[in-house]
Amino acid sequence: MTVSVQQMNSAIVATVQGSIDSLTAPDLSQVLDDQIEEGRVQMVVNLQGVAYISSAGLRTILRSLKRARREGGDLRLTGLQPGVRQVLELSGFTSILQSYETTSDAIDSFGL
Amino acid sequence: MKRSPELGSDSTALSHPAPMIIEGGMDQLASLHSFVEALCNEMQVPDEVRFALKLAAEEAFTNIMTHGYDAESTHTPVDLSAHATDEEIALVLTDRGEAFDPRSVPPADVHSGWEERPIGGVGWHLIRRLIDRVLYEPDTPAGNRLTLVKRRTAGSRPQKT
Repeated sequence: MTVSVQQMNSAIVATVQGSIDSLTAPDLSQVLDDQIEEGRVQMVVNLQGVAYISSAGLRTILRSLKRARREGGDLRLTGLQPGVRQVLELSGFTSILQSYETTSDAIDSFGL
Repeated sequence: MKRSPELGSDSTALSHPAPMIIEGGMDQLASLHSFVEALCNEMQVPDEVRFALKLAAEEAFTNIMTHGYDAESTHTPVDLSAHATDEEIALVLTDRGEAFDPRSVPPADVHSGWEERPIGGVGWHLIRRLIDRVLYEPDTPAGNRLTLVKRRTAGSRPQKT
């Protein structure tokens, strides 16, 4: 799994490629934590390249979502593939965070 | 021919993928995923079924690794095998750690707002929602046996467990 981060306007976009599972979720956590620690708390996580996510990935997303919101920002998702969307729905995540079809929609949603 | 008690008398124990033993801890997740991928390739299942089996297997394996320490605090090995009928696949994980009672798993909180929502605790919930039948037999002679049964065709609906 790889994560690349780009600054886009005043949001950061973390683009993930590969599976987010028990072994790879800590790497994603580290990247998102680093951004939050730098004060970059308007976050878009692009999951277009992710076909698989387990509960470890959900924990990472929720942990980062809470941190970002507590710092006055947010974490929003894009590019949800069917399996990933299903896991988010089954886990009740779709009621607590926003997801968008495209990364530019997600960036625009921050109204910046 | 070995039958699967969970699938009934017309089931076949699969020799491909060959039953295997995973030694060690979570770093062996890739071996588990390889087994499930090979099983799904052999059974030529749709993506939805592959995803469900792969995820349920990981969640079950994680649970075993969390609870399954032996007296020397080393990870229990996990035996993997599979059975099939024309309609269903059974993935079997057998460990020799401490047994636990799935009924003791509290219901997952999937409704609280983001601030109250606990981090974690959805693994079993996902297994139950994705898998058609889940059977747990603790303390058999071979160990604690967890069987995940999934219909081979898409669009199956899990029974209540």
